[in-house]
Amino acid sequence: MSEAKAKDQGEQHQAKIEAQSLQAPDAQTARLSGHVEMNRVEQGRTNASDGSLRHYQVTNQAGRKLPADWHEQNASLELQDGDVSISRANPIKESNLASHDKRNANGKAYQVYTAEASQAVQKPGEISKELTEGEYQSITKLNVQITNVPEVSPGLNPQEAIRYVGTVMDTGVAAVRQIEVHMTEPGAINHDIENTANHLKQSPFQFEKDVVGAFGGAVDKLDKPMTAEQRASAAGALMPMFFFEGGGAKPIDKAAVNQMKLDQMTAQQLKELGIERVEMRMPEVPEGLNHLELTKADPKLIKAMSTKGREFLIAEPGGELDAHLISSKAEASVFPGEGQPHIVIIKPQASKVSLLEEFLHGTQKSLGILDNPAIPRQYAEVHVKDFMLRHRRMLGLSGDDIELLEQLKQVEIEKLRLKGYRWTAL
Amino acid sequence: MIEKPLPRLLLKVKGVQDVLGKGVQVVSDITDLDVGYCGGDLVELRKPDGSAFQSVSSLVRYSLDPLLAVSNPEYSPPVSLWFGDLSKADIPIGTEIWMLVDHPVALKGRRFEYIGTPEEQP
Repeated sequence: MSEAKAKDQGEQHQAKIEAQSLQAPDAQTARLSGHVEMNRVEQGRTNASDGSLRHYQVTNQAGRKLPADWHEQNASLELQDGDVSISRANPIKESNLASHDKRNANGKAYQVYTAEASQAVQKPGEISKELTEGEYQSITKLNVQITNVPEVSPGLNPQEAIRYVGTVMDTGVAAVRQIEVHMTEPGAINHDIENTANHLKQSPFQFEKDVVGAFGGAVDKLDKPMTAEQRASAAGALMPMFFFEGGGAKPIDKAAVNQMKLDQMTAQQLKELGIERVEMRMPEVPEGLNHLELTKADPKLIKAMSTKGREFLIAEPGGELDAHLISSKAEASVFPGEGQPHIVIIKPQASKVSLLEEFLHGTQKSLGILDNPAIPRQYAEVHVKDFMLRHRRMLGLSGDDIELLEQLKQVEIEKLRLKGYRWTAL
Repeated sequence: MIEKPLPRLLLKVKGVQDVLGKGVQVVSDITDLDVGYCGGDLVELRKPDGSAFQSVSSLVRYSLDPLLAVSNPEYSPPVSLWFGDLSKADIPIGTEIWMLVDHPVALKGRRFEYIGTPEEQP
């Protein structure tokens, strides 16, 4: 079914609903009310004005009763607050409000704050009269919809998203497997070099033609309307280009690693595929921090903490809790409950700093710092980092841990400042 | 100080996770929470089917990946609440969580003080 047809059907459905509403008994009564009912409503109305400006048109016959009506209209809107009354007949200025003898409804003097307008008023662009006043033409409307409305992909629910990612990965795996199988054939590389050389000999511009052709084909594919499944499949087919780009200088996506079981291959097997196994680093980490090696959370420390009213749940890789921590860019989380062990969810490879932080949030809870209504929420984050820094030796933190904690503390102080608070224990 | 009426909408549930038999964690799509809310508050859960019930909530605290947190100082994780007595079936996605109580925040404490503008005072 085309989109236009679907839209027409939707409009017909809407019109049907509206028509049904008009048939309702209260709608019938409203439509059939006569002069008597209207008069009764008018008499019951407390606001004397009818809200219309027709009386103020000089050319209007009703202009004759202007003075009395003028008064009614002016009295129709009045704001009262304490000693102050504002209406059309009694407008008030800032200077009047700011005088000390004026009190608001709470018995306090008014304060006047001013701020410069910071936003420029943008005038709307001209719209052609042919469009706004001309006769309806379905072809014009159709053209406008096509040229001016950007394509918006329909929303995906999580199940659909997983399915499409799966399709991308499956296609990608299939494409990589082809290369892998080909490379294991005897003399594959020699044959490839020979074939490539013969192919490129055809014309001095053959290489450029190939590249343009390959990209043109890919763009053509992606440019045409496709279902989500087709897009996922096309993305998967292109994926090997990115895997092997730069000789493995770019990290391979973790999901792709899991899907292709690259993590189960030896370093030598990976090398044969042109992939180098290196210690993973987050691409977002700037150069200045790349050298930092954070101490990992020791299982013995976790065990010791368990005896201090904490219950640890390990977020198993691939599980729901792990997925949530990954999406939240977190290593651990804590649920500080009332009168029961605090639940700490932690990744197996979390840092010691994160583990200590979650433990100390529990201590903050016991001390009345965390979840204290009078204390700003962001304060607890600064406080916990400040505590770790002050007790660095007792907690056995490394130089790198401390360097990072100093920076984390500054980040939290800034977040506190953005909430209007200053950290005063500097 | 702006006084806001109660009850008022705190967040809308965008995701729900079972915490391995330890209640349920709800995730919102907001990263900043109403200052008047406090962990441990009683809140009202208004389900999409129109029914509603009340429960005590806890605010989930996260330890961000430290290197990532320093590299992306503006990032905040989504606000999550934990309900120790509820299960996933009790909180369908789309449920609205409404605040029933409000708390004023102090302007000065042992290691902090308010320096914002009076009209934005919490």
